[in-house]
Amino acid sequence: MLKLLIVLGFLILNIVQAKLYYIEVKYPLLGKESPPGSPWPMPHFINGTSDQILLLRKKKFQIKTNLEVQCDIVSENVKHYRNVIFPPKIYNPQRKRLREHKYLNVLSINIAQSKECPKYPHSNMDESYNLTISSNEAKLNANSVWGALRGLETFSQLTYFDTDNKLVMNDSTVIIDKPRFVYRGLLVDTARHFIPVPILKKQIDAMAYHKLNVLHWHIVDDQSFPFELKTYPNVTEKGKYSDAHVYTQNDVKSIVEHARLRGIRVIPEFDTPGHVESFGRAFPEFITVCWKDGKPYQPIFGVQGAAEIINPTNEYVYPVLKDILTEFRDVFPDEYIHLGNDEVYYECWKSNPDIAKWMEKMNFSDYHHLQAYYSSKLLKIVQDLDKKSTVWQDVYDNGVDLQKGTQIQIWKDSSILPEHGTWSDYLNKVTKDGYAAILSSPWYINFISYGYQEWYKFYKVEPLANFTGDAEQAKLLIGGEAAIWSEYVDGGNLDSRLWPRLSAIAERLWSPAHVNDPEEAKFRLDEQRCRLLRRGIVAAPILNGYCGNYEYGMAKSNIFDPVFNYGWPNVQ
Amino acid sequence: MEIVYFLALAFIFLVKTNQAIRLKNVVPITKGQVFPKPQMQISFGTQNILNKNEFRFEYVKGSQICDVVSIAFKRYYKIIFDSRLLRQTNRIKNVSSIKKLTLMVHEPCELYPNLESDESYNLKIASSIAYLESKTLWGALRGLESFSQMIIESDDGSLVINDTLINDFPRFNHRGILLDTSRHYIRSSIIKVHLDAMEANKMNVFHWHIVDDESFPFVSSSFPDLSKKGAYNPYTHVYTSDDVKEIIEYARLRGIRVVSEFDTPGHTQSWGKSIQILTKCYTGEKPNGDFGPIDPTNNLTYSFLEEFLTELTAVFPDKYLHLGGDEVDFSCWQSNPDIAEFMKQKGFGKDYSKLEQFYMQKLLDLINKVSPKSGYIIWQEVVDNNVVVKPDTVVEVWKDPWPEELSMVTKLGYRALLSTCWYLNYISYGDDWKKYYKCDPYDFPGTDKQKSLVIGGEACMWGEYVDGSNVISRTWPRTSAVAERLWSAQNVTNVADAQGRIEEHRCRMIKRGIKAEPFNGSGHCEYEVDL
Repeated sequence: MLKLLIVLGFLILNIVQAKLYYIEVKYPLLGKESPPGSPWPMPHFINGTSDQILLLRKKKFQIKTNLEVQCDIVSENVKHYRNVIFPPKIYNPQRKRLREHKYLNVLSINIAQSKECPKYPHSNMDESYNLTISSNEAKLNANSVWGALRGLETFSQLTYFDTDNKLVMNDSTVIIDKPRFVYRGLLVDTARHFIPVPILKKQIDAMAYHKLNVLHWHIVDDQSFPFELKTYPNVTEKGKYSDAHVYTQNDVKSIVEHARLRGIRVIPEFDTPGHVESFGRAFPEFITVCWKDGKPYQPIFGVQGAAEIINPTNEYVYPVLKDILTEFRDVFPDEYIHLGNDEVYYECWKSNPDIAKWMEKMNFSDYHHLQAYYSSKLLKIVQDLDKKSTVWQDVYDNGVDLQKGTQIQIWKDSSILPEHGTWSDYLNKVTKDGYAAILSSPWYINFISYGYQEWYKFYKVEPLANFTGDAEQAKLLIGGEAAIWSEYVDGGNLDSRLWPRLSAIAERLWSPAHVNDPEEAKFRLDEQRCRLLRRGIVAAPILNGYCGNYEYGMAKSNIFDPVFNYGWPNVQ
Repeated sequence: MEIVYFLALAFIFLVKTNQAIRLKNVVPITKGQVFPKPQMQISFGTQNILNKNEFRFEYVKGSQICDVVSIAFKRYYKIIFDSRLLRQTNRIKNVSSIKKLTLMVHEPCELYPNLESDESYNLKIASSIAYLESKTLWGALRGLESFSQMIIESDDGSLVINDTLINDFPRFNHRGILLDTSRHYIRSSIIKVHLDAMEANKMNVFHWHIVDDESFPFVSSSFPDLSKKGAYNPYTHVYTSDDVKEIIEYARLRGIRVVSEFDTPGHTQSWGKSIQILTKCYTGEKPNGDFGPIDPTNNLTYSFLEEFLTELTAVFPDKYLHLGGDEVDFSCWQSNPDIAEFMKQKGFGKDYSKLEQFYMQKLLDLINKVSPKSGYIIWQEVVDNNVVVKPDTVVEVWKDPWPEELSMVTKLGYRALLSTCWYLNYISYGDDWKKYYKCDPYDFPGTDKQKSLVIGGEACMWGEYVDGSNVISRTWPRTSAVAERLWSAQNVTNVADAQGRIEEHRCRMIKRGIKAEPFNGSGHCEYEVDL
């Protein structure tokens, strides 16, 4: 009983309303259907003209490289992409050689830096590549291993099953491709709900299928502290939900390793001075006691908890934080650590008489100074550890001096709080001051809503729409990051919440700005969702219709296939 | 609409900017609470241990012995002593233990549950004895579910149950959920998980909206072309007669009725691909190639329907068929000159609702002819359009304002189902279950007699944006809020109290392999999905 009027009520703005009640047979959809094997995200340049079809056979097909050194990143992906291209259960080898067909037997990968096997993906990696399929030959050229990975992904997407269920691709295709933004991230929050390791690894695979390259691991928060700290085991002991809800350091290492092989950086976030309740259970003396009416430990609903934020005036805090950050440095190889520093509300600090005395002693007139005092100490710790920092914009907004090279993540917007500026204003300001900026405000994908093609709103965001700076300044907008805060997400629904909604953002961050017509994109995205299902990722539907008998629960589903899963104890 | 948008923003404001304050607290979780809340329950502190090796279910001498119940014994034994999760423990001495649950079923076994089935039961755990008594086998199933829910794992890993007295019965007899398998196909294996979840929530009607405009996955033996041409894929995206039988049987074993819906005269585009019964739409004087609702003026329509309904009443054992009757779009009828001529002949004037009436009346006559014992459920439009229906017809209310509609329908003396406030396909951010929980089917102006005509309600999960990948997590535990409203006493309305119990229930479902999603903000389950 889907009723047109009801749906209209739930409509997100700016959507063509006439097509809202979507029954293909009655109301054909706008836009053109894309041919099978259309890639997502769209490459910068793609030209495919031939109707000539090439067949691929698992037994004959080879991926060759010119690498002169052993490189696990390449060899692992050659193996992985064979599974991706010839998905188990779905791919059926052709028994007979079909004379009338042409075959594609080799993909040659040519990497310019053929003597280098980089260890970890990093902020300056060269992800560009060229791919040509012509006269039964496929050639992938890239400067670096990272470009080769991205090209391999595109190559795999060009293959498809034709109506006779043969695995094919079109001959005569030229692709020249590179990312629009160097930083293309996803924030996963494992504190509000714990996400089991195997499920996280699947999301990393799916990120690679979208050429995303940063996993921002918001690993701890108020609600729980699932990271195994070795220096202060009490923090984990008291902060975790239960024994089962802990990422051991081996778990973490295996996730970082998995991401490395997919060309994805892992940036951990240790969020302070707010969001530390679970941390504070082991170190209550480090947490500011909030006062009210002359009494300590007083929560004020909607303003402050009883004890919720680190007390920067306690000098013993810093050596402990340094130890913890040192441990983060040792476990997470990326050059960046995220220090959080968001949502620091001063009410609790203001209520505390000891802090007031201390401020007087220090000649601090404003609580911004207190936050600056705290944040600069932390930034210094990270610098001394030979790492760089990413912070939420709040620190910058509060006027803290940040070293050059600090990355600032923008999450505020006037649509969230009226007194905020728009995210464009923040981007303009931050980059004008010479800081690198990461945009997240319009991409909080934990916020769901009902309606026709809800993902349009993510897709239509143009990061540079109201950008006022010059080209040099624009370079400081290094990219964007979707965030899935996990109040309403756990291992059971993470995939289907993320995909394909996150796919829309991935295309915005990779593809040229002019690839922005959602009516055209929706068919390609629908194809991408089916592709994800074939690869064992639980992606939710966006249009009426069906993918095939490999959907969740069906005979040829790969959702639980071992090649797309990583140590599930409970494979169904 | 701007208001809705504004509210959404205000809500975002609350949750995001106060993450540290509002959402810091993890929802408290209950232990061993029966969900939905029983009508009457007294619990005592005394704990009894259950031991896998010695525990068994048993009929009392004199009890009816029913297959459905004996099979349920095995099922619940597995649920209670889930070998994947059982820990080794040393039995504690000096603690009383329960070695068996004895059951007394009074009335003779029945093959299928029906709308009038008595689901009441009494459960007594005291002095090392567990005793369950019910009038019917269906009540026994509900009692077994409650019993299984009260058993918890104690800190040392042993399974324990508190001394308890329960006297329980449902507030409404029809506690349903609609799944739509036309917009997206849902494999039977997933439907079975869904039926497991229904059992865990004491819901008893699976309203199977099996076909619609988009696809026709039901394989008909009399008209095989319907699915051959109307299914998304005639080989893989269909329900064969074996599939249908299996689902009906799976449901029967859980005391769940399967009410099929073959919605006409609208919502039938997929039918038209094989059977020429749809109205040809015209642009000017010529057919434009599009088709509208079923053509009520075509004799073929009725001969087809007669045969098809004969098949349906044989395939689906439930007394009730859902005949749809919603959202009939008149524009195509209006464009068609043959229909205009027919209207003139019949003296309908320009009132196309009279034509709809004409069709519905013929349809109901056909059912009375092929299966006089059948009852039917219809969407409210049929009554709104003044079609005369049998007095025992059930009218499903889905439009707003529903209180007025319920008032009207029950005043006419029809029995009614409410679903307006339980369209669970409409998702929104946050703990939207509260609004489902707060909706009460008696909140309409009417006499006690009118209220008594409300036989229950249905949660609806229309399929535009769900398929096997997300239908379970999106339906559960949000539907649990509806389940409690329909089972528990009218005064069980405390949201804060329900919160912790649904949280426990979500974890319980996860333990049983149902991926119920977080609905309450942050938290955790002892056993998470795939941990």
